[in-house]
Amino acid sequence: MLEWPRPARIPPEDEALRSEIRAFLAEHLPDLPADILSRSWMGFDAAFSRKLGAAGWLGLTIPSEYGGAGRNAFARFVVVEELLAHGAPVAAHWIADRQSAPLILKFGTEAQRQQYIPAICRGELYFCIGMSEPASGSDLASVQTRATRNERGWQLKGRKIWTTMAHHSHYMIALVRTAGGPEDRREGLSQFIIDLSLPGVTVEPIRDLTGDAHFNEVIFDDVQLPPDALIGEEGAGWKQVNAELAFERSGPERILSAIMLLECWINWLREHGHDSADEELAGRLAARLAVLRAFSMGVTGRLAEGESPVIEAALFKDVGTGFEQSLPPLISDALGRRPEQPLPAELERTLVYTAAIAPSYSLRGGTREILRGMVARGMGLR
Amino acid sequence: MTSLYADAIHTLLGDLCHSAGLRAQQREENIDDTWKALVESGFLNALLPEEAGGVGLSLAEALPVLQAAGYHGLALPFIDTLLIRAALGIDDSEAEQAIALAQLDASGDSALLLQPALRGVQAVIIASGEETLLRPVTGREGAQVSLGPIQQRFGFAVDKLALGAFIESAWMVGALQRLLEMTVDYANERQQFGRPIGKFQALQQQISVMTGHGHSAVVALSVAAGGARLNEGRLLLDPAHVAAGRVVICEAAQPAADVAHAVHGAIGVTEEYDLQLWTQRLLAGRRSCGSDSYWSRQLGTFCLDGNDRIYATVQEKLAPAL
Ligand SMILES: Cc1cc2nc3c(=O)[nH]c(=O)nc-3n(C[C@H](O)[C@H](O)[C@H](O)COP(=O)(O)OP(=O)(O)OC[C@H]3O[C@@H](n4cnc5c(N)ncnc54)[C@H](O)[C@@H]3O)c2cc1C
Repeated sequence: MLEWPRPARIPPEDEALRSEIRAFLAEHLPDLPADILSRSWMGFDAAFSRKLGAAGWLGLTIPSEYGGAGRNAFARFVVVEELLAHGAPVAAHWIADRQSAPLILKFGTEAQRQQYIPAICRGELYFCIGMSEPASGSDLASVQTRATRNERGWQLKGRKIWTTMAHHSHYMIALVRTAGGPEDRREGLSQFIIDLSLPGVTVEPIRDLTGDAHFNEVIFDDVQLPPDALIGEEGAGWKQVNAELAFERSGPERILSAIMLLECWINWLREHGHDSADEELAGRLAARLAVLRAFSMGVTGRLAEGESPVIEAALFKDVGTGFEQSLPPLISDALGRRPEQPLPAELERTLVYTAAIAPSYSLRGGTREILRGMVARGMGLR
Repeated sequence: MTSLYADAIHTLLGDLCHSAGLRAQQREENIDDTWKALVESGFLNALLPEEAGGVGLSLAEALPVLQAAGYHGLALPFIDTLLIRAALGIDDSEAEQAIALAQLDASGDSALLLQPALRGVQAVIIASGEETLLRPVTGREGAQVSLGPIQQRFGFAVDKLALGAFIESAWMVGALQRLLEMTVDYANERQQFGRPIGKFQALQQQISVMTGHGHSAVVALSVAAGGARLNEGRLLLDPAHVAAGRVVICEAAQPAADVAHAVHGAIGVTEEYDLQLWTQRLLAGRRSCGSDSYWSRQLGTFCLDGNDRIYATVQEKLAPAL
């Protein structure tokens, strides 16, 4: 059985960052309508990321010798929570700050750390995650992209897909096969830091159903990688990838994807009046949000203690994304109970965007069914 | 430290609440002995300050002790008495009655229990204008209890519904934990088609959903306890926090009970098998002291009346206790 959640509270010294980051946002957050702010961690704005870096809001958990703030997971929780709650466009640095820098810190050589991490902390260097391939989605261990050792390092061949922000990123950290075949599953996989400007790399944006282009197909046509493109241990790719997942799945981004829609709706109710059904729904959503936030804080507490709560993070992500996905249909129905009342254009656009993109919440970062399978294993059923 | 208390209460309740014991509690048999054991354990004063002869636990520290009652299926008003003593500042060790919350009816001599599932209620507290009264129970018919003369007066009002909602929620969380354990154990034991039924992905996914409800409910109780404070030595709950936690706990009840019964098959719907003791009381708990609809509306009005972003309200007014 999975251990029961342990509540955690944000330590006062980390909580103290909140007013500072709010002041930063009041000054620097671009003035954008709610449907654009709704993009948040899909919204690219390099100038904003550099401002964050310059102000010290990136690399919060990274030691100061690599340009970070040397703080714990709670400090990052507070800052990320505020950025997302205000819809800040964080996509440029998002993956580098959340996953790549901690991964390079943990598994990289000293030279690799020096090469990448300080620039990530400055908000200048952007990364993407190359896991999925056309024939390998949930079954990640079946990836076919292959790196073969040669006299100049490694030769890379294959393709990645759904790679968020590859078209704006400098590097990809990819999981590829270095030994054996698909039948070897989790053995023989390795991670590489791939410079996306190298000859033989093609990045082709894919448009999503809202018309945005945030993910891509990335093709590697015999790309020559230097020896030090390998990150961590050869053959240990699977283990390394899994270490990232607790960071990827436990944060407040798993409850805040549709927050702009909720805020817009609440504002609309305040302006146009509410009935008992609206009040009940608003209360239900606030209650679920409060509990999910506390849930995320609990998992963050375990990260801060140096644990790797991968299953708890999967459980949280399943429940959290379920909540996010429930917002468009519930709010849509609540608005539709007043057919004569016209909707303001901004609320309408926010609803249309959020409803369309919501299915992705439980796909990206591992599908709902895969996460539930992990939870079942954690409960001792598999 | 808290885990020592939790271990002690689990041991005690484990002894008192075996299958036959729980059924005896339902029939109110030997109930005085059960209560006496709880009184002697000292836990009724867990939340009272040490100066008043209590243990001095904060509400957050006491949560595992409170959850233990629901986990073991205890039908006596243990959580009630513990919280009522703290809320009223009753540290009189002579009169350690089993106290519950009730609503006086028109006659003035009888009242309705807010939690009809309780057994062995010896006294109730009722509101009377700006006062709160403690009156002994002299008889009972269903949820209705007849009352003796006023035993003690307290010169302040208590938010009975918020207190009751918290108490019932604490019980429900313990019950949800127990149901999840029973369900996982059963899924690993019961074999069909030559393998444990827990190996089938359809059941794994359902149990995983149930796990989400169970874990959310545990977190929700710490949210419900948020904002609790001591006022002149008396415990005061914050109704907005109670509402937020209660909504999620109530919402968990039906889906969790559904999965528990689905996994257990026919044996789960028998009188003899213990599962039903928890599922029935869990589902009844949802409507005692305000259901999720009731508390949602309270909380929604609270949020809409303010001017803050809803997420700021969540951060600043609905944070968990620690
Ligand atoms: C917006 C967005 C951004 C993304 N960004 C990235 C990125 O930056 N980098 C990256 O590498 N990937 C990215 N992805 C890809 C994402 O990780 C995959 O979509 C995901 O892993 C699922 O793979 P798939 O889409 O191929 O679906 P499939 O694996 O084909 O799954 C289809 C359905 O089958 C179910 N299924 C599959 N296997 C099982 C099983 N064993 N048991 C039960 N059900 C099963 C799934 O749950 C799902 O319902 C992104 C996806 C989205 C939507």
